[in-house]
Amino acid sequence: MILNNNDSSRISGPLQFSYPCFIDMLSNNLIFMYRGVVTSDLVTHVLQIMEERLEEDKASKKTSKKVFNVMVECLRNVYSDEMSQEISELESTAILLVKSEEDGYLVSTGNYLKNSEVEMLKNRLDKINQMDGEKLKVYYQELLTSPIAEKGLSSLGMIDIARKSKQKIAYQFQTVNEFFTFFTLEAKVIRR
Amino acid sequence: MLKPLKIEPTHKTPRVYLEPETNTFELGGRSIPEDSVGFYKPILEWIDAYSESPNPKTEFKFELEYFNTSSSKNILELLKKLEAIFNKGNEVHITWYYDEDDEDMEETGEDYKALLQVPLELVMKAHY
Repeated sequence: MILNNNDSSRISGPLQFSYPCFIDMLSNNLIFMYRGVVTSDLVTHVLQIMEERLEEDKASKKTSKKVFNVMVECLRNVYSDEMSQEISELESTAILLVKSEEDGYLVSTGNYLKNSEVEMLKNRLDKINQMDGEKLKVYYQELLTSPIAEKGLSSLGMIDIARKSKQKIAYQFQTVNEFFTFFTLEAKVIRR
Repeated sequence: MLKPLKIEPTHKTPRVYLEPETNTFELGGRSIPEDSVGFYKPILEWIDAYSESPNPKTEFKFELEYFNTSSSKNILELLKKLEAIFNKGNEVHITWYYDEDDEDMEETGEDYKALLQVPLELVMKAHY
């Protein structure tokens, strides 16, 4: 028998946490979930696990390739730069979710940002979301050939997500307090 | 003669085989290194040294599975160096392989082709 979420409050012991979480993942078709620091090593492991999960989920090779490509860039976006001293512990933790939907896969990441970073990021995403495939291509090539700058690299990653997913990038900013905002990004890969 | 450069692949970095004596120039696999500039630096330096006295014909094979955007800048730099060798009057031919299921890698190859003058051929690898 499957308990619904509302019943979970009556459970005590280890089940109290794991079971509602499990049911939640199951009912939302989450095939992967991670919360923590995203490092380069982690990306490698996530891709390895995802390879198996996508196979179990009967994703075609074409779809899997796309999910991989999109994930690499989505993760880059929440990647914590170990060299940077300015980033607090809170900012270095992120969430990654991969949801299997009828028509494709939803790759979602979430992380904290400084409130001051929101506007620039929002402008960047809006600019990319207004572009069609051809414009994205031109913009991508333009940034690729421009002198290396970290900012340009971040834009390049976002354009890459938009081009490869062939969808608008969904995003949301949730103000947490006077210092931080939680930023969620969603990219959908259509099954093929 | 320039010493060959051989870098074995890892889960994050591609295999790199550069051996002028056997006319082997290959880069393949995954490229998602933590520090892509650091990874590509010795490769770019090797190409600089090679361009001093390149083979009459250089056939360079790219067989990438996937790579991140920070690697894409370094790969462009590598391609530009090959273009410079070509512009000096040497024969250079680049083959960009992509898996038949991987339209993204095909598209990336097209992006590079559009940005360069050096001959770059896109070749699909079919499954048998």
